[in-house]
Amino acid sequence: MDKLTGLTDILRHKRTAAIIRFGGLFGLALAHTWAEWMTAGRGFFAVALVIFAKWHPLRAIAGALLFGGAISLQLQMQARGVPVSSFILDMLPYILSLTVLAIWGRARRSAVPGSLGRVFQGTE
Amino acid sequence: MKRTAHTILKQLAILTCLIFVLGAGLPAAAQGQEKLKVGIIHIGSINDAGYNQAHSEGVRVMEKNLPNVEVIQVENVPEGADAERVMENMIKQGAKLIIPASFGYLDPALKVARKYPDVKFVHPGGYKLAPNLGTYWASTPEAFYMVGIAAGKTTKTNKAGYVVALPISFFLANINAFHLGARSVNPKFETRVVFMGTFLDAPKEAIAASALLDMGVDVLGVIVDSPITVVQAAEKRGAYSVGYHYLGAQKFAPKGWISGIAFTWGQLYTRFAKQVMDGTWKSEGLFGNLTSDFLTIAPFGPAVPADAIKMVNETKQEFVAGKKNVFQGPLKDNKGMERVKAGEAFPLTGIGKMDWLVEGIIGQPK
Repeated sequence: MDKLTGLTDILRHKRTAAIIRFGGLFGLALAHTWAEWMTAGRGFFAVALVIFAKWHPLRAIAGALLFGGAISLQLQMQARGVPVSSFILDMLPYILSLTVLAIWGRARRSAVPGSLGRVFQGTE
Repeated sequence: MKRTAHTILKQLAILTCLIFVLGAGLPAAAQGQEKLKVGIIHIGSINDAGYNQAHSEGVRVMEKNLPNVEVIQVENVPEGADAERVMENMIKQGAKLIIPASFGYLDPALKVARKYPDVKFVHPGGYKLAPNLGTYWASTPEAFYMVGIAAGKTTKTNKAGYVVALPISFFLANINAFHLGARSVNPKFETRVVFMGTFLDAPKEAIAASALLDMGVDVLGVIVDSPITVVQAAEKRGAYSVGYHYLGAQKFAPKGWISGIAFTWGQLYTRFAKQVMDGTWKSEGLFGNLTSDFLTIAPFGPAVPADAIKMVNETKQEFVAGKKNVFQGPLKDNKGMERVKAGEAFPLTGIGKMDWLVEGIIGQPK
């Protein structure tokens, strides 16, 4: 064994343990919303959201609401009988996220976490 | 330490070899009994209470009817190269009858069928045939009309909402038929349609269902692979629901269930398997109707009034006797254009060309 710490040491580390615990509880809390193929077609939005959020949690929340809202909006419009083809309405969320990315998503200096990509030593 | 690891590995290797040798020997021994292996591939989960479960239930019934049949079943197979790979794998395991149970499996199945001419294929709802590939489905508008009567008699707000995969002609015909059935007993009836753009997307279906309920509809219907999301959403908010594909979706809405249009493939699959076993199978395009044993109206829920059930049964008799047409003129579409003249009827054989929604339906047919 070299510098890499064992699993128990990693778990003893406060930050990591907190993340694991939070992740587990978060998953449990939302388990009832699980559905077969629930991520279908949403991968693009996840990538767009990462670019949009630029490592800032508030931007991530705003972006998630925006993109999720766009998906919901087109279905609401159909239910209200807006006289536009469902094929066009189905494009709305994608057009919106592309537009938002084109305007706000340019790669300026972003606040990448300082220790991202560094090997975890377990000494903090 | 190292030596122990080696010994364990060696023992594992020997064990694996033994399993392979024994495993290869077993099917050879069983082959003497002339079993028919049937392979079926599904696009989604066989517990979807919808499209896939109907097919899966079909092979289960076939297995029960015919003890000499063995089923290989694979779920969640994407349409395309993956489907070809899984079908070929089944054939290598000895399958002589393949059921590629999704519309999009048609081209992959045709490819595999060409490669293995001695294996038979039956494909649901396709439009192409091959010497060893047949197709089967049923005409559904009459059944939708009948369930529409029940919905029109049960609703309190006179409004229904339909969550539909895509605006394609066969689905438009089904929604039209449902709406006309409801209007025949309830002239104020109104139907709203929301198209998903896909056959399975629970989050989108949930949003669509609540958007429709917000518009005051108290009946929700589905033409997607799984009715679970929409039927549950209706039940949760005290609304009624109409199923499609599988008989057993009722359990998700014990209070609000009206009925459903269901496929019961069991006896048909039994016939297919028997025909393959005694060599009488031939490629054909089977298109059933209300008299077929594979198209069924699901049991009615407690909310449906007794006189509605009586009317549904009478209407069925009229359809079967040829005394009634679903698309009887005069019919206008929902943009005010005349589509079927008075005294004429749009033929059920022509619904592949239906690209309009009838008056009173709120939705875009294109």
